[in-house]
Formats: sequence, C-alpha cells, structure tokens
Amino acid sequence: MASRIDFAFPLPLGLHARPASALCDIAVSLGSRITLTNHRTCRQASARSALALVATLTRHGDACTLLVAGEDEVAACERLQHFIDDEWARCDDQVPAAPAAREGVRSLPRALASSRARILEGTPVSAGIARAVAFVLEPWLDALPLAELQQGSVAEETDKLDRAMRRVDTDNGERQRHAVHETERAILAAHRSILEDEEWRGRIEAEIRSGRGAVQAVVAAAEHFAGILRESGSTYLQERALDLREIAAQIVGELAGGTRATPAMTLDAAAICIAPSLGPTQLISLDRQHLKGIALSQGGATSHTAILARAFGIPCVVGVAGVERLVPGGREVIVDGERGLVIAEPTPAVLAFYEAETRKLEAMRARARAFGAEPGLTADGRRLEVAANVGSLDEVRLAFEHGAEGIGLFRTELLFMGRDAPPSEVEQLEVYAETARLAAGRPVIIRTLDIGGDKPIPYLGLPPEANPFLGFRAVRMYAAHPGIIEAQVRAILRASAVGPLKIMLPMVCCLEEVRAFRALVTRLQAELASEGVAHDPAIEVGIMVEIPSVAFVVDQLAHEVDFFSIGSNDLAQYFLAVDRDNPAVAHLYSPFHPAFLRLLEKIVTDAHRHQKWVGICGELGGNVLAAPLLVSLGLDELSLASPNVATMKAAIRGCEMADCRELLAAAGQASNAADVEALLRAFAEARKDRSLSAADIVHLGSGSHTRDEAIKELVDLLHLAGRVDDPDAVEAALWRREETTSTGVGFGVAIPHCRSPHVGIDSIAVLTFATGIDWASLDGEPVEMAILIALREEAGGDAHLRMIAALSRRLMDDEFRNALLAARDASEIVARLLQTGDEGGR
Amino acid sequence: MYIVAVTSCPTGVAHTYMAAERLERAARKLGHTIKVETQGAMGIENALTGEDIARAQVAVFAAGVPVRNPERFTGLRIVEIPVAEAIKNAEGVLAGLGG
Repeated sequence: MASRIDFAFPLPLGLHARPASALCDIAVSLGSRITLTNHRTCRQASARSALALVATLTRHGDACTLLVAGEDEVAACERLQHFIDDEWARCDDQVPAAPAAREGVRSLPRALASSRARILEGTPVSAGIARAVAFVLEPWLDALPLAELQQGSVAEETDKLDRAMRRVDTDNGERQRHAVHETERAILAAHRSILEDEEWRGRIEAEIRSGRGAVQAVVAAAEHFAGILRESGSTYLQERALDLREIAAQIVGELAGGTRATPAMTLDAAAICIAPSLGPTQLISLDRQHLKGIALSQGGATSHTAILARAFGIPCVVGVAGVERLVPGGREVIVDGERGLVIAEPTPAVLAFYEAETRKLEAMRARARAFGAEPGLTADGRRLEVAANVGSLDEVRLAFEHGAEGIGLFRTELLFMGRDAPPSEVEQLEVYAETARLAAGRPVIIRTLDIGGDKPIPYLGLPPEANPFLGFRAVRMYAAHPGIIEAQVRAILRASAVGPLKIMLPMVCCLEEVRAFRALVTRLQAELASEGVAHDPAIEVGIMVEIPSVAFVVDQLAHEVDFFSIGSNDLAQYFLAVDRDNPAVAHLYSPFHPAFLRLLEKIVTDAHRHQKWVGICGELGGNVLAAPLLVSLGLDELSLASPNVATMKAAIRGCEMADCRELLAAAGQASNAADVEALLRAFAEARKDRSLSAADIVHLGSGSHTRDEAIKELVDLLHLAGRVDDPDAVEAALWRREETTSTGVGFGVAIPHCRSPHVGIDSIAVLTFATGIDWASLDGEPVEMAILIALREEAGGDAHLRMIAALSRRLMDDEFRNALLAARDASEIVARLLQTGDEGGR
Repeated sequence: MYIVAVTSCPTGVAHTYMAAERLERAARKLGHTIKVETQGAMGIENALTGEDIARAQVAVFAAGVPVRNPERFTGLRIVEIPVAEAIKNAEGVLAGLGG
C-alpha cells in the first residue's frame, strides 16, 4: 500500500545536482522506498540516487509524482510534502552569478576590427585579460589508453573497479583538504558524491556483468548518463555531463596504471590553456602560478570549470568553436575575458591595444581598492560605517577585499547545515578565530544560530510546523538545545581572544529572552575563566530588530543590550503581514512603505536617546537608491553584500544631511511606497547632474601618436571616471561621426563628439599631445589638442548643450585656444572650459 | 552688404556654432553685416524674420543636413557650402559673394 504526492516541479533551473542532493539527503534518512516519476519525460528514479534524479531531466513546472512505500510512509510523506512546499525552493539561493550577457550587437573596438590578426569570438565567463603562450590540451578521456588491458572474470573486473574507485575517492579527498577556495571544496564534494551514487555504481557493474572490461564499463556508463544529460535541452544539465566524463577519466586513469597515465599537465612558464573542454579537477591540477588564461570550444557560464576560473581569477572564454585547431600551440595568444575574444598571432597594433586595456583595468582596480580603503562618509563628513554580510570564511576574505569596514553580520547557519551532527566547539572556534584574524581589529558581529523548521537540519529534530516563521526558531529553541547553543557561545568567546568580536541574538521579541541569554553568556565566561581559557570578559551583545514588538520597548532593551541591528527583510514582512515569496501578495511588500520608514525612525531615535548604536543588515541596507534615507534615518552602520560595498560608499558620499532630512520628511508624509520610490528616483536623477568636466578626464602631454589611439585614450578616461558604461559602444559612436567629416576643425584643435545611450554623464574630456597628431583636419594641420564631447541620449540637459555651444564659439578665438594650450595643469583647463559667458571684452 | 545665414550640422552640438562664430567674425572683418540663425540640438536660435530676409542681398547655408523652413528664402540668392568650409574659410566664402 503506497502513498503518493503529486506536484509541479518548483525550481526555475530544473532538478539539477544541488536540489537532487537535497532530496537525496532526506530520502536516505527515511525508511521507505521513494521513487520520483516525471510525467513529461516518462523517466523514473530512486530518490536515493542524485544521479538518477538528475537524469529524469525534470524542468520547472513538470508534473511529477513521488511514490512512497514502506513502514514509515505516512511520516515520510509529511516530511516530503513539507520539503517540496517550503524547503526545496531555497536550494538555488546560492547559485553563483555568471557575468551578465552582453546585450545587443557587440561592437569590436576599432584597433581590433581593423587588424589582420585572427580574432575568434566566444562567451566570456571569467573577466580579465591574459597574454601568454598557448598550451593546447587534449581532453583527458581521449588521451587515455582505452584499449583493454588484460580482461579477467566478472569478479576480477569488479574488484579492479572497486580499488580504482577507492583510490580516486582518496585522491579527491586529498585535494579537498588542500583546497583554499570553498568553491573548489564544494565541487570536489559533488564529484565524490557521484562516485558514491548507487545508480552510477549499479550501471558500471551491470556493464561488467554483460561482458565488458572495467575500463569499457566505466566509459559506457559515463556515455550513458552524459548522453541523457546532453539531450536535456538545459544548458545547466549539459554542463554536468562534463563532470561525469571527468570522473570517468579519473577512474579509467587509475585502472590504466595510476598517475603515470595522466597526460602531461605541467606548465613551466606563463601559459594559456587551449582545449575543447576542461574538467574542474584538471583545472585544479594545473599549476596556477603559470596558468594565465583559458579558452575552450565547449562549456558554458555555469559549468564547474567556469565557476572555478572565476573563483581563481583566471580570465576564461568558452564556446570558441574550433579553438584547439585555430590557435597554434607554443605561440602567443590573447584571451580577452571582458569581451569574450581569443586572438591568435596578435599584431603589434593589437598588442598595443591590449597593453592600454590592461593598464586601464589595473587603474580601475587600484581606484576601487583605494576607494574601498576609505571609510564611509557623507558629503558633509558624517560617519556611516559600511560593513558586509557574510556566511562563510571565503565571504569574509571577499568582504575585506571589497573594502568592508567590518563584518556587520556573520550568518552562522551554514556551519550547521548539510551535516549529520552539529559542528563542535573547536570546529566553530577555528572559523570564528580565523574571521577575527582576517578582520585585523575591524568589528565583527556573529549572529547565533537562526534556524527553524524551514531549513533541513535533521539532528535538531525540529517538527514541521504550519507557520515556521511565527514558530519555534532561533532564540526560542535555544533552551531545548542547550548543548548546541553553549558550544557556539563558548566558541565565539574563545575566538574573541584573537580579535574583537560581538554577539548578536536573532528574533528577539521580549526582554526575558535577552536576560536569559545574557545570563548564559556570563555563566560561560565564568566557566572559561575557571578553565584558564582566554576570552573577552567585556564582549558586547546586541540584538536583531526583526520582530515589531521590539521597536516599542527599545528603551527597556537598551539597558540590557549594547547595540541593535535592523533585519529589515523580516521586520517588514512581520510588520506588513506579507510573505514576499507569495506571488499573490508580494506586491504589498516594500521597505519604502511610509509606515515602515516611520517605524525605522522611531527605532533609531529611541536607541540613540539611550546612547546605543543602530545598524541595518537587511536588503534595505544595500539598496543604493535608499542611500539618502539610510543617511537621514541616522543609522550608524550599514551591513550589506560585499560586491556592493564600494557602490554604497560612493552613494553616501553624494549625500548631504540637510537634503536627506528633507527627503525623509517628504517620504514620511507620502501615502504609499510607490510615491516614496518616485521621490528617491528624483533625488538620484538630480544628483546625476555632475560637472561637465573634471581634472581626472584631462590629460596633458599625452603620448598617443594617432587619431585611433587618441580617441581610445579619451574614451578610456571617461570609462575610468565612471562616466560611460560601454566604452566600445561609445568609441564606435565617435567613429561614426568621425567618418562623416573629420572633427579636426583646424587651428590645431579636434572636437570628436557623440550622443549615445551608453554615456551616463555629459562629459568633456581633453588631451593635449606632446607631438601633433594627423587628424585629417580641415586645414591639413596636425592636432595639438583633442576635446571630446560625450552627451547622454536623453533630451533635457539644455544647460549642458548651451555650455558646449558657447565653448565651441570660444574655440574659434585665437587667445582662448592659446590659453588652453598654455595651461599648466588639468585644473586650469577645466576652469577655462567651464567658464560661463565671457564673450564681453573680445 | 547685408547677409543672412543658417548653420546646421548632423549632431548639432559643436560645428553648428563654430560655423556661426566664424561667419560672424569674418563678416565683421570684411565690413559686412550678418545675422546667423543656428539650427542645432537646442532647436532654432536667433531666427531669421521676414524683415531680415527682405533686407538681405544673399543667404548662406552652411549645413550638413537640410535647412528647416527653406520656403522663407524664396526669391533670395542662396549660396550653399559645407559646414566645414564655413569653419575653415569663412572669409574666403564671404569675400566671394560679390556685391
């Protein structure tokens, strides 16, 4: 007597490795037999095999059935139903982002379009530019001796297989231990779980029983599953076929004689790897010191190889048809991970172009780093600390690279998930201590376990609830799991000896909870003291403000806590009674709701009245549009996703308190969230009216020799200054104008100009040249000064057009031109350019 | 001599005004009177009226795109030149108008 659950598959990316493993984990913990049937593809799979599940080729919306048969089938069904309804969807939260695909027709920069070098196009999957000698690699599986060695009996072949698979697993385990990046570790873990997969194993053994030798059996099994994945019509699943072939290659390599059989992978000098495909383990095995770039004919943005290339910071382009045939090994090649180009046999012009590009990218990175190193400040000098939200050590490193001033929120849940038992005190101590070391004195806030029935943590045994978000979670469950919370707090206390740490309590709704926790901390501090273990005796303890009740007793709580951090996502959901994941009501969720803004104002005001600081760690804190609100609310700290730290600092720099307060007052009086958003957009638009020119887009004594170089240099100046978003498109627009009639108007001056949607800020850039440049000018004379005028597409900006018209007229005046040419520095040029109406007296 | 002129270039941002400036300076130098209408990105400025046109002996179009409202000039001698020419050689152009 079996039970069934019918459902439509909920995940947008289909049933790929991660959700398959999640279902697998649950299936394995239940006693019943569980089978998944997909009614569209007519494929079935045991839920205990991640591979079989993936091989059902289940896509978003497919009608599926889970058949459950066994003694515990009723409880199992409940568990599975809950999983499908509430947990499965969260699997894809961590899918790594590939660089956004370039929209529209890509314009090749002029220097490349006009060169004779062989330029191949592909998809960029990892940014950066590499120039080195090409090293052509054969795909691993193809390079191995597949001809059978001595074939023995079924028992002998099965035995050989066993030993080979165990050796491969041990090797991968070694690599996992030495992995520096969590991404590396995760991918190796995924490979190891395929090795253990019962379908995979079962298929190979079936092949051996049908008469094949171990090597052929492995290859046949790999082809069988790879074939299914390739037919899937999903790029994501097709890329998983690459993982399978690599695991097969590893097993076959062992069968064929161990590491002696692996093809030469040593690089002894700077090299760019060229291959039809490259598996993640192969990539990990290549000497990273010498590996400068990768170009493949297959693969896509979500393949594990691409993900690793991004994690390692190695420029990579894929989908370059025939790359292994068209790029000669041993000769120089360029991989452009920004535009998705591979250039074989680059000409001097191409090399010069990429030297300029590399210099520009370096300058941009240096600028971002420098800005990243600066503190968060408003235009009128008010401090607003900009910190980062993290969930793992990798993210901690990333946060400080991006210029975070501290860790405003360390989500500890990830340490507890995906395991059979909770992390020990020592395990956690390592993580928190390393975080404190990386922080080097900057503040770090660690949030204690914030978990409930919605996340699959089997060892907690949390019963499924009808309403997990209003239920037994976070601080409410600590009393029921004293061992777990004590281990965590002890670990944090011990780590606080390494560097300043703070503890933050989630989901507090009343004073008793805080008091109980404080008492716990005090007791554990005494324990550690008596054990003679170092720790911070004055460690600060704060709370998340996510339950609305807290907002009205800040005065009482302020006596018991050291700080407050607003969890704006959950606070808004509880406050407005809206589940933002529910499409029927999601439109009602908005942190810009005037009532919510008034709530935030109250929290900050009350906390400050009691001399406690207030931060924000929800999404609102990372919303650049909301910057003026965040400033005017008086928040002391913002904690957001690392990649947005620099942008947020920049946004705050543009804010002056007086203007922001006006905005907040208007927002509080607005009648709905949409109106508030409109106010914010208008505020941002007004700030876009930045100065037409500035010293950073003026370069005196440029070494550019030709018109091509000069135009590229001018556009690069704008790009570096953040005034254009697509330099290639702007360069193309300039050349379209240039080809109609030369903009060399004579008198040694050229005025290249264009209007383009890729110009973000109306700009005037200037170059003066050490030696005059041939610009095919009207009077045939060389150009000593090039003035670039780049305008936005949108109308309205007449003020700028007027200034430019006046500037054009003044350029016809000898005295004015000579004064420009004689200017001593960039600021003088800018001042003269922007002088308004000086026609009198000429 | 009283001259009317219209300058206009494709982007309408710079050359339009440079040509106007050069024509005005050249006219001053040669002792003529000139009124230049610019047709640029900001629209029509310093528009030529019926009176201006009636007074004029000749019209100069220094344009890279068709001049707007050309019917105003019926009956008047029109000299058309590229915008670049007006910038490069305004004096030569005006001197060559005769009269």
